[in-house]
Amino acid sequence: MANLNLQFWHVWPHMDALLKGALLTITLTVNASVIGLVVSLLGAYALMSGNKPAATFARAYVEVIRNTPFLVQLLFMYFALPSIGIRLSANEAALITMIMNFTGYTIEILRGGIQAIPSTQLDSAKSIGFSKVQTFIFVVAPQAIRNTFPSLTSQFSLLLLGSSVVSAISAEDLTAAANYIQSLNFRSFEVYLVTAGIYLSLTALCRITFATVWHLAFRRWE
Amino acid sequence: MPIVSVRQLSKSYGENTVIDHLDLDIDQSSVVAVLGRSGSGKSTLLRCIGGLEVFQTGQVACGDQVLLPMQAADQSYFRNIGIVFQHFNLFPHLTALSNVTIALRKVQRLDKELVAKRGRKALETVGLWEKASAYPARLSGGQQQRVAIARALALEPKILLLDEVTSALDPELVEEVIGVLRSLAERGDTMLLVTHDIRFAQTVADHVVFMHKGKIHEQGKAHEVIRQPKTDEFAQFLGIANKL
Amino acid sequence: MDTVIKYLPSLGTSALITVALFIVPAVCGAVIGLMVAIARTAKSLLPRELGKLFIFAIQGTPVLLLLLIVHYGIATIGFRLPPALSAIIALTLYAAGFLGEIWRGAIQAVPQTQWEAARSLGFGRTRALLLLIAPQAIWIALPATVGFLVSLMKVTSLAAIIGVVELTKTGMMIANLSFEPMLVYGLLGAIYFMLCWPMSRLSRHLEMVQHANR
Repeated sequence: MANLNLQFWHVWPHMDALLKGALLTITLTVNASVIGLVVSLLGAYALMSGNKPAATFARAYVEVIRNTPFLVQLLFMYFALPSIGIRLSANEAALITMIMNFTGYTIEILRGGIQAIPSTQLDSAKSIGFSKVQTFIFVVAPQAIRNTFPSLTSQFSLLLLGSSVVSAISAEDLTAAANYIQSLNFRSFEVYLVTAGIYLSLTALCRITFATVWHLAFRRWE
Repeated sequence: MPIVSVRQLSKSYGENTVIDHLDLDIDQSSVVAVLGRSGSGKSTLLRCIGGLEVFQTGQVACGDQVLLPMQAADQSYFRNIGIVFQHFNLFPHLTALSNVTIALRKVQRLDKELVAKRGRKALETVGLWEKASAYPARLSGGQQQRVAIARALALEPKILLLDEVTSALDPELVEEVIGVLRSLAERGDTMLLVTHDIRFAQTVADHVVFMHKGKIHEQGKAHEVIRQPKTDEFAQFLGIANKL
Repeated sequence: MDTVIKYLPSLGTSALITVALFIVPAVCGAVIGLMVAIARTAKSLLPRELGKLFIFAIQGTPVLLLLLIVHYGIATIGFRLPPALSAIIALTLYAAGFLGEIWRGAIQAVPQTQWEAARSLGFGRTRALLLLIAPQAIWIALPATVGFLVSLMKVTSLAAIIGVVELTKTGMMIANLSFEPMLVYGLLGAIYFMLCWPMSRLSRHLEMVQHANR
């Protein structure tokens, strides 16, 4: 019947490989979300602007991202683009696809956050001589981010967990490391369980970090 | 024989004593208004009598049922009472008639004909039979409250407990609810109303009880007690309201 | 191009597999998710904490890892499952973990005063839940539930990684055979889009209807 002889110590010698993979996972996620935040602020702006082509493009972009699987987007970036001359490394394809996926959701989230800002704020900005760009950077963006902070942080967590799919194009993230290790010691159950534990710890770490950021940076705005 | 008999009732939330060794009798066919400021304990008193709150000491007897300290009310306790809430609390996914009859169907398991008869009677009493198939969202606040009253009436309870039932209504909608309650009083229903609205108490009640800091400070016939308050606290309470 | 056309029928068959990988976990996950939601709103501590643990574990683990644990992990302890079955089991757990949380939120979003009104009419806890609270909770939960189903549809693509011959795996094979990855992956994306978009629209529509009724 079942051989429940779990041997977790076989995972221990490979911890450094797992941690190295975790580092790439974290790096990719942080980079993708920071760049993604900027991109989605612009995207939200485009969505809300009167400029028809920009708004339509933004809308189409969001709909395509939200209704196609991350894996398919990744395969497209890594395997299809070379046929028109764009060759991306696994990490580059991973980063770009992660940015796309992140912004597909955060554009809508930030749009809601921007709409929640009372128009009186814009009047004040105008009255002190801010240009449209300055208003956006100094008045609109910070408040939009604050308004939507919980949604944004949950998108970050989802991105972190979703990044595991990049192992499918051989980017050397945490899941790829796990795949490699279990191919060496054949203890897949134990290796994957430990890996799941690492992902869980990472999401818990995220939660604490964001709670701290909120406390330090945004709470005083009440 | 009183319908409801409260003896030495005490309730506290942690350190805070909300009701302090209170005694009260409510006779059949009487309409008792409990007046008091917020925090006086009047709503808590109604909720204890209504079986919605657990109390520390004392006893509440209603009809043939008794509530003892630190005990959650048994389902059968609710046969004797009908509660109407400040915010109506109608079930939004049911029509007015369904709201009124659902307990008769699913809890008391009465047969279809009896349920239909009682449901119609209850809605007619509050003057809303023509709105029987309307959903709460389509009704005004006053109409929703009247449906809530019908829902309580349909149970044919021994006493009707009304918790600040006009406080959440726009002023022009209060009249229709008061009208219904007055007609119930005229036909002899026993009612306990909790309110901070003195005019409401005067119009509908025949007995008034004034609560202050968890105790009853004054009680008596409605027009006597309000015209001639005996205690300072009650005078103050009335005085402040008069200035409005 | 011709190669692609030659393999279109197999794409059609694998689309059916994808749909199966969607429907079975959706239904089974819904059943388990409902139990989890009820456990999470129970009066006693044990079901509440177990439910919380389950949701924490599922929501904190990448779906791909769930698939890998079920498929390769279980093989280590002795059972060898066909990939499709592993995928269904893993996706069912995924669905249960997310639907359970959505539905718990919906149950708790029904105002406490509704429970009170039910109690004052003599309803016991179970009957109140079934007859009065659940209908309201279901309505509240609809937009998020349909929204989640879109995610479930997309996530079936990960079954390709453990070898299930569904849409994405077939797409990958055709792309390799035809040397036209742009066309094939573009087509693949379009198929998923057609499968997902109606549900996305429905979810948004439900959200708007609920917002308007406020």
